[in-house]
Amino acid sequence: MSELKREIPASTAAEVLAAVALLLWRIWAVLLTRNPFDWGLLLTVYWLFSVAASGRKAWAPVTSALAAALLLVYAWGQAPHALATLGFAP
Amino acid sequence: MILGLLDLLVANAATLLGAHALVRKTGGADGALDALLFQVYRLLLITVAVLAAGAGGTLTPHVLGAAGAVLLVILLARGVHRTWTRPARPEMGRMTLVLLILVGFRLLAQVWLFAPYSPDALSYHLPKVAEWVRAGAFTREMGLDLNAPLPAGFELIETWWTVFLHHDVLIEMAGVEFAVLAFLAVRVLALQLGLAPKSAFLAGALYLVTPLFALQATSCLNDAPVAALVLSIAALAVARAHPALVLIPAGMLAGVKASGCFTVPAWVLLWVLRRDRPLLKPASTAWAAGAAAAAIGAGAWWYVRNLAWYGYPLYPVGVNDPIFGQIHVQTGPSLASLAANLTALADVRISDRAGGLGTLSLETAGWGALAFAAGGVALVAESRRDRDFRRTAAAFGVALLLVLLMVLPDPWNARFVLFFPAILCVAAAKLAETLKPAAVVVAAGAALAFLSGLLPNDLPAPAMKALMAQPWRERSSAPYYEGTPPAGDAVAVHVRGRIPTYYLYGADLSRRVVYVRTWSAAELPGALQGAKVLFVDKKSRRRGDFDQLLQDGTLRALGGAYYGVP
Repeated sequence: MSELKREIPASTAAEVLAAVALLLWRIWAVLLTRNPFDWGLLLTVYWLFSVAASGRKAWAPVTSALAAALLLVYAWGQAPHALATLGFAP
Repeated sequence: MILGLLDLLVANAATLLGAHALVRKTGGADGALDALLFQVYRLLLITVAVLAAGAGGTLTPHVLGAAGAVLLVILLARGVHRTWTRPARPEMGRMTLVLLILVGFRLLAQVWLFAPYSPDALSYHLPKVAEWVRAGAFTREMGLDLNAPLPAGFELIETWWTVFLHHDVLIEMAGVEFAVLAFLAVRVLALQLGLAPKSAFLAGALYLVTPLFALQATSCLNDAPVAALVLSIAALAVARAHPALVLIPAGMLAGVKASGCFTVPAWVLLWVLRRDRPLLKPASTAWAAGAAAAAIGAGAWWYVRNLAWYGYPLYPVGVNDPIFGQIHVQTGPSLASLAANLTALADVRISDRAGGLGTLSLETAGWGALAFAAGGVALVAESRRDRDFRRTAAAFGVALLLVLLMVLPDPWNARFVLFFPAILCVAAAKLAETLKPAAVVVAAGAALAFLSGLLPNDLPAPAMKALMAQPWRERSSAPYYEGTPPAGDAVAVHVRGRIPTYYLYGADLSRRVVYVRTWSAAELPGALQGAKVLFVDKKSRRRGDFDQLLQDGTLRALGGAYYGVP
C-alpha cells in the first residue's frame, strides 16, 4: 500500500476516483436509457484512457478517432430532424 | 422612412463614438478586452438612451436622432474621433475568416428575411415594444400575457432597432448585437486561457455556429443575449478585470433575465481563483464605476417599476393569476430539480436526438455537432493538460449546475445554459491548434453546426419559406397563426392564455391593438375603444357566454379568430 502511494500521485488518484464516479453514474444511466453511445459514458472512458495513456503515442489517434466517432453519433441522431426542418424529409 | 433612417444612422454613430470614448476612459490594457468593452458600452448606451426616452415620453426617431446628433457634435468637438485608430489586421486563419463571413451573411439574411415568429416573442416579449413605439413612451399596457411585466432589458435594444423606422424589419438586429458581444467575449476567454490569437478567433466563431445560439440570435427571444452577457462576465472574470468593469454586464444581465444571474457565484469563484494574476485596473476607476452604476440602475429599473406598479419587485414570479395560474418559474434552489435537469441534459438533450432544433430547445440542448464531438473530447483533454483551463471549465460547470438547481424541470430549460458550449468551443479551438487530425473533425463539426442553425423548426419548413418570400414591408407571421386581421385601424384582443398577438400590430406597427379585460356583454362595447374587430382565442371561443354574444348580435364571425363588432 505504501509503495502504491509513492507511485501514484494524489492528484492522479483523485482524478481516477472522479472519473470512476462519473463512469458509474453513466453506466447506471445507460442501463435505463439503453443508449450505448451515451456522451458522458464515452467521454468518461476516454478520460480514464487519457490518464493511462498520458504521453503515449496512442493518445493522439484515439482522441481524434473518438471526436470523429462522436460526430457520427450526433449526425445519426440529429440528421433526420435537421433534414425535416429544412424540408427534405417526408 | 428616409428621415427615420437618417436618425438611425446618426444615433448609431453617436453610440459607436460614445462607446469608443468610454473605452478610452476605462480600457487600454488589452486590445481584445477593449473590443469586448466597446460592445458592452455600446449596448449600455443604447439601453440608457431608450430607458430615458421611454420614461421621459420622448421615444421618437427625431428626438433620439437629435440627441444622437448633439452627442456626436460634443464628441467630435472634443476630438474623440481622432483617437479612433484603424484596427490592426486581425490575426485569424483563412477558414475562420470564411466561417465568420458565412455567419455574418447568415445573420444579416435572417434579419432581413425573418419576421418575429416565436410564440413566446409574439405573446409577451414584443407587444410591449409595439406599444412603446406606437406611444413614443413606456406604457402601462403591455398585453394580456402574465409574463409581460418581466424585465425587458433586451426589448430596449429591440425598441432601438424598431423605433427609427416605425417598422420591425430590422428588429432582429438586437440579437445580432449580442451575437457580436458573445463572439468578442469568447475570444477574450480563449486568449486569457492561453490560446493563440488565431485560435481565439476560431473559438469565437465556433460559438457563433452553436445551433441554439444561432437560432436564438434572430428569434427576438432573450436567451442568447443572456448567454452573451454571462460570457462577458466570465471573460472579464478570467481576465481579472476590476470589479467595476465586471459589474457592467452583470447589471445589464439583471435587466434582461434573472436566470443568467444564477451563474454569478461561479464567476466570483473564478475571479478569486485567478488571484495570482494582477488586477486589470481601468484607466479611470471613476468612469468605470459610473458605467457600472448606470448598468446596475438600468438592470434594477424593471424591479423598481414592478414594485411601484404591482407592489412586488419580482412580479409576476410566485403570483397566482386567475387565468394563467402561477408563472412557470421556480422560486428557490431545489436538489430535485437539479437531479431531474442534469439527468435530462446528460441522458437525452446533449445529443439533440429527440427532435429538431428550434428556438425554445424543446427536449434538445442545441449545442450542436461541434460541441458534442470535438468540444467534449477537447474538454477532457484540455482540463487534464492545463490548470487554468481546468479551473475555468470547473467554473462553467458550477455555473451550469447553479442554473439547473434554480430552474424547474421542463422540456425547454436547456436554453438557460446556452453559455456552456462556449467552453467546449474554446477547448475545441485549442485541440485544433495542437492536434491536426482533430482540426478536421472541428471543421466538420462547425459545418454541421452551421447548417443546423439555418432554419428553426418553430414553424413548418413551407411556412418559414413562405414567410421569407413575403414583401419586406408587410412581412409578418400572421398567416401562420390566426391570419392577417381584417382591414381596419384597430383590433381588440380578448385572449385567455399564452397567445401570439404581436403580429396584430402589423409589420409597420400601424394598427392599434386594444386589450380587452372584460367579457360581459354590457361592458364589451366600451372596452373595445372604437375597435370594430375583435380577436378571440380558441379557449375563450369555447365559453358558453361567448355563444351568447354571437346569438344576441353583439359579435358576428368574420372567419378564424376574428369577429366583427356592429
